[in-house]
Amino acid sequence: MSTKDEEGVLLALQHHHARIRLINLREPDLQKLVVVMGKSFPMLENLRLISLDPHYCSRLPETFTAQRLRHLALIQVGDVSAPGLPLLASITGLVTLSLRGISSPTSLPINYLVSRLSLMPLLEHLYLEFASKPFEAQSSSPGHVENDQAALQTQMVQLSKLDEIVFRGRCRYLEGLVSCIHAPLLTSFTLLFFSQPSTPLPRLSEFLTAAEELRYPVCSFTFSGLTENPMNPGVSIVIAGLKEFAHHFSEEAPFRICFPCRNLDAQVACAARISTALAPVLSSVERLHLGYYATDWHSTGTWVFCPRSHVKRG
Amino acid sequence: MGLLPEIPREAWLELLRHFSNVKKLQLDSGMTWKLSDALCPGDGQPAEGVLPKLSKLLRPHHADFGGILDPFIAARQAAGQPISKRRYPPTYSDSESKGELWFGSDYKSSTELDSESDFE
Repeated sequence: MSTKDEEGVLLALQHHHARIRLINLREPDLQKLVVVMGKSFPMLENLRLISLDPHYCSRLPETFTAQRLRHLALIQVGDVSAPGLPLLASITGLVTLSLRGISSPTSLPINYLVSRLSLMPLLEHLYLEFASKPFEAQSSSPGHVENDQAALQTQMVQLSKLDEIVFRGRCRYLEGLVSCIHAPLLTSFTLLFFSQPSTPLPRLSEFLTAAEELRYPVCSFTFSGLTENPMNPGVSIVIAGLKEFAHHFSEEAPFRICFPCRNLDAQVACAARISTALAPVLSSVERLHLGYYATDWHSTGTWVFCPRSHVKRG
Repeated sequence: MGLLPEIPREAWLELLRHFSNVKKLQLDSGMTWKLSDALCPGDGQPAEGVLPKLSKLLRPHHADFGGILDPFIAARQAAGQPISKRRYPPTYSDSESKGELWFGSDYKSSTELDSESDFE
């Protein structure tokens, strides 16, 4: 952003905030501009704060309010990494909630998230992406377990307009979350797990049973070689209509699950395990593809994986 | 494909048992051998109750099932549930090393090519 543009934005935020409908700011400019946003934005409907560098930690002032906000996207900015996400406490009535770069499950307890979602009956799109921390992702600390257990005792929230969920994080967190929400009209579901599902996912199964719109006739299980990177999953499960499959639009498939897994035998075992949770959806499948993707076997006994994007662009 | 790790038959059957409505099964060549161990093991009876509505097996354009699934198909035939073998058109990738993720762009029943001679 040029100096002149920055001055213009600063002027608008300081003196014309009552008329602003949309704010879309990125780091590093955000750092300088966010400090003047500690006021009411009565007309603001769409707020996007983005950082491509997680080391920035700009946060909105506590006095920021936006009563008419409908679309909120916080991408790796300080507000989304702040414990408890206090910004959410004052926001209701969202149509789109996108939180990417959440530092850990404990910084966004499921029962707190669900309590906020209960005040968002118009919600159509929910994106939750935790920051990738491999060591934490693989662990199951007592604190996380308690957090998950507590969530199971919270209220059930009806999200009758929810159409899309994108989740990137731990299986256990998702399991806790879907045990608390009911989304009968869900048509798009993308799950990127940090690690392979090690336990059954009964709550996910119940959630999918209720999401009756999420039924498609074609399914592909693709197994690949050695990888621990969530961006290059060991197993990719895609369920879609004929159109998406026929035109190779894997990133547009309405139902996708990816998780890393090292060996092919473990991949099949995990795929079988998660299939039990997916049974309500798989029972509608008429065409099944079992794929074996992009691996080269070397005498060293290692798999070489060819990168392929599985991340839905928001 | 003999270098691929051994996959327990139970894992395959657990995976497949949820697909009670599947009529077409498309297999990449890398999967065929491993799945054949589950569907028709060398020292046992062909799997029963798996993919009960299956009527077509599709193989890659460039590959050959080589008859390894024939015991499974014969068992289904004897049970009055015939399964035909077909090949699907080339995908975006000409090389198997780039994967066979999707059905061909003209993936419709009218484009499935009979290739019975390949399976004799």
